[in-house]
Amino acid sequence: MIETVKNNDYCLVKLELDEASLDKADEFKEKMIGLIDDGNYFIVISFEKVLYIDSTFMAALVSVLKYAISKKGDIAFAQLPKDITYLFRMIRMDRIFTIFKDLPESFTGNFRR
Amino acid sequence: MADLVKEYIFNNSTEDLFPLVDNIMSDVSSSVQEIAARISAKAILKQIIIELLTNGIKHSNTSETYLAIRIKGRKMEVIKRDKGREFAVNGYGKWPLDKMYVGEEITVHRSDFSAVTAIVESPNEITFHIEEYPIVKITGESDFNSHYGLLILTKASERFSYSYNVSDHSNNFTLIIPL
Repeated sequence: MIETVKNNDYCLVKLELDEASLDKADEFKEKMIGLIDDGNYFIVISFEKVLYIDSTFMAALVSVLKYAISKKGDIAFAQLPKDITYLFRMIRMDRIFTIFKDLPESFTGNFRR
Repeated sequence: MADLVKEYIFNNSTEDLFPLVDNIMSDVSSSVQEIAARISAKAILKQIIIELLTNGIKHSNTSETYLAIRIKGRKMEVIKRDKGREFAVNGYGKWPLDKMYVGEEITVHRSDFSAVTAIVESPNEITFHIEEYPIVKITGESDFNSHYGLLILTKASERFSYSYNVSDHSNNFTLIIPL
């Protein structure tokens, strides 16, 4: 489901699925919380391979963000497909998560936290 | 533009959800230039379908969902119908609602950043509305929205309603989207 890569000052999580959907949400959340508990406080999630996302998975993303913030960490997104970018802007997810077009050189959190 | 009507039956199975989404998007894109040409229109319709079908899996408690897409002029109408669990309006009893509630505004979900409300249009129908609050600071104590489905459907459409049909006990979600 996810592949992790240490990248400078953050952990890159590549979503290895095309359907980010309700039947994957719980497992995803569990894996992400495990990563944070292992000390990966700043995480960039790549959506490069994602074709579909649903509201249950979005809620899981927000839940993970909340957990990261509680540990003084943060979550960002990168490589969003155009339609998901549009969706996230429509529902203001881009005001909650930092969104990068490409993989960033560095990520140590959002000043609005 | 000539009227277009496409109808689908979904078996409320997670394995069949995204193939059906693809099928619907292909049908509509081939017939509706606005959908084919604009990323925003395509993104909105795709997400509406995903959320309606996912709602069928999560909440309807039935094995079949009917979906119809109608194009009339510059408007697209998407209708989802099932005969399963009614939409719960907590504190207002069962459907049809008491007529004394007509005109009332009900808070369906509220977070620090938005609220989805419903206005009782009639004992058989509510329409959904959204209020958005400024997102200034986000902390671990922030109350985030955890019900994105209704928020997406409300935000994506010009009108989003739920109605309960007393004669056949069906639940009907209807969205109007301008093209």
